[in-house]
Amino acid sequence: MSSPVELFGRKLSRRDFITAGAVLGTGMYFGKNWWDNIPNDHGWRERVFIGKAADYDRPLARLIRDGFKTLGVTSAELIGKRILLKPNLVESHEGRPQISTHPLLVRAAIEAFLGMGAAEVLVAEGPGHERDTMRVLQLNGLAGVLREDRIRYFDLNYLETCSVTNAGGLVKAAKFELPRILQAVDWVVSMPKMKTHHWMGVTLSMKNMFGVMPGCYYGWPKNVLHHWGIADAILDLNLTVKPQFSIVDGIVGMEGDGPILGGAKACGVVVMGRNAPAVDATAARIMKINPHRISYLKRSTGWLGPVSEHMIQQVGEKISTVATPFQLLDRIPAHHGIRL
Amino acid sequence: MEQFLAGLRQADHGYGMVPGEASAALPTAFALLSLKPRQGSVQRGELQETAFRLTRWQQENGSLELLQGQYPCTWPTMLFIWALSAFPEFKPARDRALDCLLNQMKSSKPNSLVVMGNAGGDCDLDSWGWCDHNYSWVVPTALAVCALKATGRGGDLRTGQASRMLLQRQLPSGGWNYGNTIVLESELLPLPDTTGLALYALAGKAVEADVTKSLAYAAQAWEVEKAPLSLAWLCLGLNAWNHPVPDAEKKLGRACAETLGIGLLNAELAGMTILALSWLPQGKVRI
Repeated sequence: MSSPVELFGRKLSRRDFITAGAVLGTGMYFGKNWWDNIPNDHGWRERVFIGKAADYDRPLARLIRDGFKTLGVTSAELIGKRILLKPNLVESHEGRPQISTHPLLVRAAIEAFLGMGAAEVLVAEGPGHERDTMRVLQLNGLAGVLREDRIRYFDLNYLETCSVTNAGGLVKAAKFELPRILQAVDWVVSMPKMKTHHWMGVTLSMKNMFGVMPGCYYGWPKNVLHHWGIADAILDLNLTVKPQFSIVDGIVGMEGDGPILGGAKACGVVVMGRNAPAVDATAARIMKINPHRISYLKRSTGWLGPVSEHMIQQVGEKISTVATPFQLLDRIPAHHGIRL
Repeated sequence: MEQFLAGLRQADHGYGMVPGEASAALPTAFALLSLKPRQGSVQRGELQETAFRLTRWQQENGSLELLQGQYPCTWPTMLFIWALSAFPEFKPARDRALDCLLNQMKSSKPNSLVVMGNAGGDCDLDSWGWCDHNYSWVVPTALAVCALKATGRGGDLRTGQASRMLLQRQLPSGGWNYGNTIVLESELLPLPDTTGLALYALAGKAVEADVTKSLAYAAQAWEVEKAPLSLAWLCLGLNAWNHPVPDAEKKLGRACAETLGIGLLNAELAGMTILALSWLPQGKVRI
C-alpha cells in the first residue's frame, strides 16, 4: 500500500488524491472549453442597429435613415461622397427571390444615402455563379429599379482592375486583382441577404465580399477562393477591401440549404452597422445561430471587430424580440453544432 | 449590333469592352469571333488587323493572358484559338496557343463534398478550369471543345475526353450550370447560358439521346429568357442540334435594347448576339 501524499500540510489518502485530480481535470476541461468559446474582443465595442420591417412595401428608406441616426451616421460624413452598394446576387432563378438582396431594399438604401447628401450612389456586384449578369438583374427585379431610378450599375466581373496587396496574408495570394472602382468610391456598403450557407454555416456581410472578385480572372464560380480556404479568403478580403458599412436584408432570408437551394424564411428585420463582424454576429444571433461557432466570425474577434454579445451595443429592436430559428440541416456538416 | 461593336473598335484595331474603354484581349477576341463568319459585311483587311492585334497580346508560352504574367487564367486562350481559326495566316500563333491549351488540361475532380450527378462519373477525366490553380468547370471546358472543333481537332482523344466530362456534369434533370451537379444530396439548378454553350460544344460529339432532357430545358428556357447572353448561347445550342429557335432576331433585339438601356451592353454580348444570328441568312439585330 502506498503512503499518503502530503498537500498544504494535510495528508491525503490515495482516494482523496484521485478525487482531487479528477475534479481538477474536469475543471480544466470545461474551463478550456468555456475560454475557447468566449474569445477576447480586446475591449472593442461596436453598435449595431436592428430595424423591423414586415415586408418590402414598408417605408424602408425611412428605416435606414433611422438606423443611420441611432448609429451616429451623420450627413457631415456623407455629403459629397460616392457610395457603392454591393448587394448579393450570386445567381437567380424564377420563383426564388430569397437568393438575392431585394431590389426595394437596394432602392431604399440609394434613397437614404442620397437623402443624407451623398453625391452619387452606384450599385456594383460580380455575380458569383452566373456569367449572365443581365439575367440575374432581370430575375431579381433590380434591372427595373436601376432603369427607373437611373442608377448606374457596374459589373464587377468585368471592370478594369488593379493589384492590391492582400492585407490579411492568410491565403496564398500576395495580391488580389480587384476592381479599380473600389478605390474610387468613399464608402463600400455590403448589402447581403440573411442566409444559411452549406459550407460556412451563414453568409452575411463578410462573405458577401466574395462578389468583388472579378469573375473574368477568378472564374464562375470564384472557386479559387474555396480552394484557398473559404474562411481565410473571407478574412483577407474584408481586411483588404475594408467595407465601411453593412445593411443586411433579413426581411425575407433563406434557411436550410443556402445560399441557393434553401427555402424562404420571413424574419422581418434589417440589420445595419459600421462593423461587419459585429453586424454579422448580431444577424447570426437573430437566426439563432452561435456566431462563435462560425469559423470566420470566431477568428474575426478582436481583429476585425467584436463578436461577443456584451461587446455589441444593440440599438433599435432587441435580438430577443426578433430572433427566429433558421432551419439547419443534419446532412450539411457546416450546420452541425452551430445552433444557439 | 454591328454598329455598336464597330463603336468599340479602337485605333490600334483592338476592341474595348464598353464604349470609350481601351482595347483589351477579351473583347477583341469576342469581336473577332463574332465578325469572322460575316466577312461579307466587314472588310477582310480590317479583320486581319484585328487578328494581328489579338496575337500581340499572346504570351511567350502561347497563352492569352488578361493580366500579363500575373494571374494565369486560361479561358481567353480558348477564345483566341477559336477566333483565329478562320485565319490561316495566323496558324503559327494559333498552334502555339493550342499547345499551351492542351498542357493546361487538368483533373476534373470537384470538391470532395460535391458528388457527380451521373452514377459512375469518372472524376479523372481531364478537362479545363478557369485558371491554373483550380478544378475544371463547364464553361472553360466547353469553350475549349469549341476551339478544338474549330481547328479541325474535334476527333482528338482529348476533345472526346472533355466532351465526356461535359456529359458527366449534365444535371440529372437536364441542363448545365457552372459545373456542379449534386451538392450535399441536393441537385443544383441549371442555367440557360451554360446549357446553350454545352449543347453547342457537344454537337457532333454526343448523340441526341445523351442530351434529350437538356434540349427540353433549353427549348423551354428559350421561351422565357430575356437576357442577351443566355439567348445567344441557347440559340447557338438549339440550332446546333437542329431544334427551332423562333423569333430569334426579335427576341435578341429586344434583349440587347434593354441591356443597352441600363448601360450593360458590351463587346461580349454584342459579339455573341451577332455570332448567334450568323446562321440566319439575313440575321441582323437592330437596337
